[in-house]
Amino acid sequence: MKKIITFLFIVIASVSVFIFITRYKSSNNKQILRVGISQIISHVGIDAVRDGIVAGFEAKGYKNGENILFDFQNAQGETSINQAIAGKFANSNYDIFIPIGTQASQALVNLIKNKPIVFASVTDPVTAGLVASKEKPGGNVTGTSDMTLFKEQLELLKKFQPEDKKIGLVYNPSESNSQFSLQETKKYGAELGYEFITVPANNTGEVMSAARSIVNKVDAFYILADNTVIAGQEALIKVALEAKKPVIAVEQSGVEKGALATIGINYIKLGERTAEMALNVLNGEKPGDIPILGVKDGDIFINSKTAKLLDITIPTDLLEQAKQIYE
Amino acid sequence: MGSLFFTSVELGLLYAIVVLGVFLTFRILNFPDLTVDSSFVLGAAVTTILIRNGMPGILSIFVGFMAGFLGGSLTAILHTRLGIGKILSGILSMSILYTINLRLMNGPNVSLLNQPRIIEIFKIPTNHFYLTLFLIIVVLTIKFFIDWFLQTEFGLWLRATGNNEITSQSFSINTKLTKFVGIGISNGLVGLAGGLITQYQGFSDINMGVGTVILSLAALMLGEALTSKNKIPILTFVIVVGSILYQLIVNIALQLGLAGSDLKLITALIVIISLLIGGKNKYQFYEKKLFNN
Repeated sequence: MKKIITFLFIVIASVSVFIFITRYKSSNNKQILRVGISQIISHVGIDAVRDGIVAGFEAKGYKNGENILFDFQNAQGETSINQAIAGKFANSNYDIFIPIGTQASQALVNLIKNKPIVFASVTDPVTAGLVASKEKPGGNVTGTSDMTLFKEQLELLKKFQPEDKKIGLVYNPSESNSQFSLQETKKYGAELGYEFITVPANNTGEVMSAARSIVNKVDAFYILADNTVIAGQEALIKVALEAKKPVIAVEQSGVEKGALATIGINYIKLGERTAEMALNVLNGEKPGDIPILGVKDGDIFINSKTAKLLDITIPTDLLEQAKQIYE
Repeated sequence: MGSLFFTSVELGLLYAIVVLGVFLTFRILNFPDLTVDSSFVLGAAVTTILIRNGMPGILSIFVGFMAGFLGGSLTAILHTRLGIGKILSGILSMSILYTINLRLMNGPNVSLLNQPRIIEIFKIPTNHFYLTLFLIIVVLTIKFFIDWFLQTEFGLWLRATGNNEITSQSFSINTKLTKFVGIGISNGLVGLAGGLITQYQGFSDINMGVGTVILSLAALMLGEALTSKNKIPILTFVIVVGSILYQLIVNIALQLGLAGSDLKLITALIVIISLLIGGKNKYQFYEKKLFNN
C-alpha cells in the first residue's frame, strides 16, 4: 500500500508540475528574444563557439537577461539527455535554435520542423543529413561549418614560398576523412597552380617511409586532415626538414612539432558569424535560402625555428597577423 | 504539455527495453555486464547501415536483436570458455565492439535524417499517439516474453545459476549455457533498443552508448523501489514504470530550468532516493552485485 501511495504521489506531482510549467510559459511576454543553444559536450572548440555566439548577439545590442534570453543546454556526452534537450526545445516557445556540433544539430533537426535552426560548427552538414546542399539548404535549417581551411592553408605556403609547385601528400586510403580532404586539397590546389604527388600510408608506422619515398620529388609537404597522418606527423616533419623542405600543417600541433606554419579555425569568430546569421533569419530571411557559411577567419601559427633552419624569411605581414610564433 | 509528456513516455519506453535487458544480467543472472554500452551502439550501427541500404525500419527490431545477441555472446564466450572475470570480459568486449562499430559505420557518425525510418511511419513529431501505442506493444511483448521465459525449465536453470552457480552445477545444470543464453538475450534486447533509438533520434554516433549502464541501473532501482514483492512479472512491470518515471523526472528537471549538465546529479539523487524507499536490503544486494565480482 505504501508503495502504491508513493507511486501515485510521484505521478501526480509530475503531472501537476507539467501543467504548472505550461501555464507559466504561456503567460510570459513576447518582447524578449528567446534562443535555445545546445551542445553535446564541453570542449575547447565548442565552448569557444558558444562564447562567440553570445558575443555576436551582444555586438548587435542583445544583452542576456535584458532583451534576449539564452537557454544553454549541455548533454554531457549522453545521448538520452541530448534527446531530452531536443524534446524540451521542440515544445518550447523559443524564437530560434542554435545547436553546436553534429549530434546536437541532428537531434534538433529531427524534432523541430516549424521554427528556424541555425547550427554552428558542423564539419559536413550534408553528410550529417542536416541540409540538402551547401548552396541551398532548404527547409528551416542553415548554419556554419567548421570545415578545414584547405584553400587558406595552401595559400599560406604561397606567401612563404611563391615558387614552390610540387607538393607531397601522404594519405590513408582506408579513412573516409582522408579521401575527403585529399579531394578538397586537389580541387583548391589546382586553382592555385599546384601539382600534387601522393603516396599512401596504411598506418602511422608507414608515414615515415611514405614521406621518404617522395621527399626528393617535391618542393614542400602539406599534412592532410587525416587522422593517421596527423598521428604520424612528427615522422613526416622530420623527413621533410632533413631534406630542407617546408611543411604546412593542418593544425596548430603540427607547427609546435616543427612544421613551418598553419592557419587554424578561430572558433569565437565562427560563433559570432553564426549569431549574425541567426539575426538575419530573425529579421525575416528564409533559412532554407541562406547558403552554409564556412570559416573565413583563421589564426596563423608560425614556427620561426623551422623558418631559420630552412633559410626562409617570414613575411612581415604574417609575423604581425600570427596568433602564436613558436621558437 | 501533451507532446512533452509523450516525449518523456516515448524515451522511457524505448529505454525500458534496455533496462529489461540489464535486469536479466544484473538481477537474474548476477552478472554485472558492461557490454551494454557497446552492444547498444552495435544494434544502432547495424540498423543504420541496413536502413541506408534499403531495409524497412520496422525490421530493425529483429536485426538489432541479433546484432546485440552476437555482441553479448562475445562477452559470454570470453567469460565461460576463456575463464576471464565477469567485469573484465565485459570491458574487453566493450572495446572490441567499439572498433567493430567504427568499422561498421565507417566513421564516428552516420545520419538517418533523410532516410525512411520508423518514426515517419508513425508521423512523429506531429502525432505521438501511434508511436507510443507501438512502443507500448513492443515493450509489453518483451515483458511477457521475459515473464514466460523465466518460468520455463531453462529459465529456472538460468535463475538458479544467478542464485548459486556452484549448487546449480551440482544439480548438473549447464551454467555455461545458461549464462551464454542469458547474456545473449540481455544484449539482444539492448541492441534492439539501440536500433529503435537510432531511428527515433535520426542518427547513430559512436559515443551514443556512453552512460547506458548507469542510466539503466538508475531506472531499474527507481522501478524496484515501487514494490517490495519479488515476483518476476511484478518486477518486470515496475521496471518499465521506473524507466518512464526516470525520463519524466529528467524532463521536469530540464523544464524547471536545470541545465543538462546538472542531470548527472539528478541521476545520482534518483538512485539514492530509490535506495532509501526500497530499504536497506536492496542496497546491500547491489553492493554485493557490483563489488563482489
